Amino acid sequence: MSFIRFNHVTKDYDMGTLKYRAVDDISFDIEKGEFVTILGPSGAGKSTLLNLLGGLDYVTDGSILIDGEDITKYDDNSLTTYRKDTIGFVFQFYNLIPSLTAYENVSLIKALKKDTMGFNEALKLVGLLEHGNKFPSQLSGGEQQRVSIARAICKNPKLLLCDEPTGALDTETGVMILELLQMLSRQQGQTVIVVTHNPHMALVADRVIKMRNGKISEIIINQSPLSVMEVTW
Amino acid sequence: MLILKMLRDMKNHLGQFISIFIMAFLASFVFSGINAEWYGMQTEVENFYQETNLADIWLIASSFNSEDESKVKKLSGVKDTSLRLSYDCPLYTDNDKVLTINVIEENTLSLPSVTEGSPLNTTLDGIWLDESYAKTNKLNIGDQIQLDIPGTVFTKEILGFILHPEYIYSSKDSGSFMPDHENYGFIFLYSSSLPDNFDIEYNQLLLSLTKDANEENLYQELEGLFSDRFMLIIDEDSHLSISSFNNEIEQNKAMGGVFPIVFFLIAALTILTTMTRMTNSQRTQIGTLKALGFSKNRILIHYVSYGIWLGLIGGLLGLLIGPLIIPPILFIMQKSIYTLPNWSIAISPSSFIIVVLLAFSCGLASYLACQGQLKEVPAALLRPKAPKNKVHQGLERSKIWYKLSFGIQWNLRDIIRSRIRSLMAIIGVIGCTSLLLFGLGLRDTINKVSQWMYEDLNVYEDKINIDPKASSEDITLLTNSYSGQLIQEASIELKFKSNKVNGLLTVAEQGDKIRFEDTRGERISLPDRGIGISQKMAEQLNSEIGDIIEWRIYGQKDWIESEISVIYRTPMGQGIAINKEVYEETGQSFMPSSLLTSDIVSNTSMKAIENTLNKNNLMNSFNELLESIRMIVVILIMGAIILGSVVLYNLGALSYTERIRELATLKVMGFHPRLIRSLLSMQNIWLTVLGIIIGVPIGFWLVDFMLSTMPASLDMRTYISLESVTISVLGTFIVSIAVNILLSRNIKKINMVSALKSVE
Repeated sequence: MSFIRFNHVTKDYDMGTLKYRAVDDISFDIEKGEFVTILGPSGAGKSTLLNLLGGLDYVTDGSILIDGEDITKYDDNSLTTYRKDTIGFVFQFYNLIPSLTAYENVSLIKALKKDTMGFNEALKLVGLLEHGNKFPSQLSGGEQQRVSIARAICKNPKLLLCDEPTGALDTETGVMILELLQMLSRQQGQTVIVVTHNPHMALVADRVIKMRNGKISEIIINQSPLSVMEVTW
Repeated sequence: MLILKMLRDMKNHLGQFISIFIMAFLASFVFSGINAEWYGMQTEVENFYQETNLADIWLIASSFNSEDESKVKKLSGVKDTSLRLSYDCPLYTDNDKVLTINVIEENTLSLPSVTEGSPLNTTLDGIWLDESYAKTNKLNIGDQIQLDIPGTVFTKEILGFILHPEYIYSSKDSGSFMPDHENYGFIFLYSSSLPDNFDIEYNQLLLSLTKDANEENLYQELEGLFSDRFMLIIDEDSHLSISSFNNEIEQNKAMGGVFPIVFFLIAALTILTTMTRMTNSQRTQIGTLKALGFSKNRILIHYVSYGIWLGLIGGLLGLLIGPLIIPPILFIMQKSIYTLPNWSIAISPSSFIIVVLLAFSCGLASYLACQGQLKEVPAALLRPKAPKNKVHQGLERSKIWYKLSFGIQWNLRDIIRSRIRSLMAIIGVIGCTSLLLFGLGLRDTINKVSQWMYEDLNVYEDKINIDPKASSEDITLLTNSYSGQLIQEASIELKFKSNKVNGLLTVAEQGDKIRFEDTRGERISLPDRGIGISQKMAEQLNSEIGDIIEWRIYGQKDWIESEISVIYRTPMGQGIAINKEVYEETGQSFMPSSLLTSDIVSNTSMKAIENTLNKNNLMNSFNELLESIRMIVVILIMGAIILGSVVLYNLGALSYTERIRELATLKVMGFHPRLIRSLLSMQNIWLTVLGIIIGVPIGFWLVDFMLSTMPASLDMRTYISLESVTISVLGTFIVSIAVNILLSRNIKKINMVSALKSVE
C-alpha cells in the first residue's frame, strides 16, 4: 500500500446558488520519500488538493489514506492532531510571526510537541544559523522562506507540503529554495509535495501530478529527475 | 461622497468606533451629569438666598437693642439690618425634641419662605414651623404646639410651614452629621404674638452688605462698636448651614472633574490606535484620492472628521442624557441632608466646553494618526508599505529568554510592539479596578467612621445633656442615679501665632465612656500635663506637640495658654480635649454639660436633665447616609464594568484582527484552538494583572481625594476593607475573563485557508 492514497476524492464549494467543483473525482498514490510536484494553471484545483491533504478542509466525497489511516473520517480535533504530528506546511508568503526572531519562529514548535529536531539544527539545515537573532523584517524573502521551511521540518513531519513556495520570490532565490527542498527529500528521506504552476518543476520531481479543471490530466513518474541546479529556470 | 466613505469605514470597524463613541459618551455623561447636579444646586440656592434676602453677617451677643441696630446701620458698607431673637427650646410635651425659636419683627433680612399656610404677617398670632420637622412629626397647619420657655409654657397655633436659607443644613450642632428632622426643627414668630409679660432681648443682629463693602474695615468697626460685650461675628464661611452647603458643591465639583478623565483618555487613545490602523490599511485609498487630485488638507479633514464626529455626537448625547440620569440619583442623597425649596438640574456652561474639548481631542488624535501617511507622495502611497525596520532587540540577549515558553515570548514581543494598545488596556483595567474600589471604599470608609465614632471613641449608650441652670445638687442627684462620665463641652476660640480658629472644647473627668486615639489609632488617655488637640485642629493652627496655644470659651474675656501634649484624632468636632484636673488647674471651674452613661435612662424628668441623646439614633442617621450612598456605589460599579469590558473587548478584538494571519498559521501548524485561546488570553491576563496592581492604589487615592474635599471639621480616614479589595480585584478579573471568553469564540471561525492566501 502506498504512503498516500487519494481515492475518488471530490470537493465541492457551495457559493450560494452556485455549486463549484474544485476537485473532481481524483485518485492517485504517492510513495514515501518522494519529491512530488502538483502542476497546473491557477484555478486547476491544486491548492484545494493540498488543503485536503493537509487536513485544512473536508472532502465532499472519497477518501484520503495516509499510512493506511483515512483522514476524511477525522473530526476537527483529530485533524488538528494530524496536522500537528504529520504535516509540515510551507506557505507562499512564509507566514512568519513578525514580532518574533527567526530562531523564535522556529522554536515556537516547542509549544506544540516534544519530539522535535533541534531548533539550531533546523536553522543550520536551511543555512541560517547565524541569522537566528534577526527579525523577519530584517531578512530577505528567500531567507524568510528558509526560516519557514526550518519551522516546518523541525517538527519531523511525515509530509512536507509547500504551497507555491517560490511564488513570491525572484527566480534565483526560488531556485535556492527548491534546491533546499530537493535536498531534504534526497538526503533526509523527507516526503515533499510542492504545488506550483511553474512547468520546469516537472523536471526535478520524482512524481509529477498535472491538473486541469479539477481533474488530473497526467501523472508522470520521473525515473531520473534532474537536480535543481541542472535546470535552466 | 467622502461622508459615505466615512460611514462605511465606521461600519467596517464597528466595534472600535462604538467603543470610542461609548467612551466619549461616558466622559460627557459623567461630567455633565455631575455638573448639572451641583450647578443646579448652586443656582437654586443662590435664588433662594436672594429671594429670602439672606444676611451676609450675623452678630451674636447676649443682647442688642434698636440703638445698636441704628448704629450699625450707619456704618459704611452696611445695606440693611435686622434684629432677631434666636434660642433653642425643648418641646413641652417631649423634652428630647428641640426647636430653635426665632423671634422677629418686621424684618427684611433672612426671611423664611412659606411653602404652605398663611403668608408671613405681623398681625397673625401663631408660629410658622419648619416644614421638614412638621412632615416628619406629622403635624398639620392649625395644630397647636406647646413650647417650654423658661418660666412659662405657651401654646401657639401652627400658621404655616416654612423653609429657611439658614437651615438648608439643619443640624442642632456640628457634632451630628445627618440632620435629625424628627428631633430638631425651627420656628419663626413675630414678637407681637408673644405673651405681654415676655421681655424680648434680641441676641442676633443681621447685616447685609453693599457690593462695595470693605469687610475688613467693617469687622474692625463692628468690634470697636461692641467692645463692651462679648460678640461673635459669623460670616458665610463660618455659618454652619451655608458653609456646609458650599462645601458640598465644591466636593461635587471635584468629583465631576476627576472621574471623566479616565473615559476621556480611553476615548482619545482608542481613536488614536483605530485611526492609525485604518489609515495604514487605507494607504492605497489615500494614494488614490491624492492621485485623483484631492488636496492633502481635504483628505486630512476627511480623516480628522471621523474623530470630531464621534467626539461631538458621543459628547452631545452624554450632555443630553447625563443631566437627566445622574442628578436625580445624587439628589436622593442630597435631599436626605439638605433642605432646599427646589431641586432642579442646570446644565453648566463647562459641560458644553467639555463636549467641544472631546470633539477637539478626538479630532487631534485622528490628525496625529494620519498625518504621517499624508506626507508621502501619491506614488509611494500606492505601493505597499515597507515593513518597519525598527526592531526591538535586547530581550534575546538574556539567557532566560530562551527558557520562556513560546506563548510568553510571543505575547511579550507583541506587547512591546503595540505599546499604545497595551497602555490603553492597562488604563482601562486601572479605571475598572479603581472605580470599583472607589465605590466600595467610599461605603467602607463611611461605615468605618460610624464604627470609629460610635463604637471606638464614644462607648456610652446615652448622652444626658445637663440643663445649664441645674445646681450642683441636681447634678449630684443625677450622677447618683446613673453611673457614667461627666464631660463639659463648649465652643471655643483657638489662637496660635497668626492663626485663629473656632473649635470644640471637651473636658472629661476620669472614665472610659469617651475615648481618644492617637494618630496611629492607638488608644490614649488625656495627659496629666497640658492638653490634647485633634489632628485637624493642629493642622489648621499649624501647631505641633510642645507648642503653646491660646484658647477661650465663647463669652469669656481672658485667653488661657496651654501646651499641646498629645495629638488625637476624631472624625467630628475638631478642637481640644482636657483632663478635668488639668482644666481646673488653669483656673476654670468644671461645669459638666453632659453625662455619658451606659445605664438605661428611665427617668428623664430629673431636674438636671435637659434632654437625652441615644447613640442608636445618631448611628441611624449615619446609616441613612450609607443607604443613599449605595446608589452612587451602584453607578460607579456599572461605570467600572462598562469601562473595563468595552476597553478590553475593543483591544482584544483589535489584537485579534491584527494577528489573525498569525493565528491562522498557528492553526495550520496544528495548534489546538484551546492552545491558541490560552495564548491569546495570556496577554489579556498580564495586562489585567498589571492594571489591577496599579489600579488598587489609585482606588485608595480616589477615596483619599474625595475625603480631602470634605470640610475641615471632618476627619475621615480612608478605610477599605480586604473584602472590598478582593471584590474589586476579582470583579476586574471576571470582566477580563468574560471578555476573553467572548473573544475566543472567534478562534473557531479562523479560516485556515486564508493564511495561505496572499497578503492584502
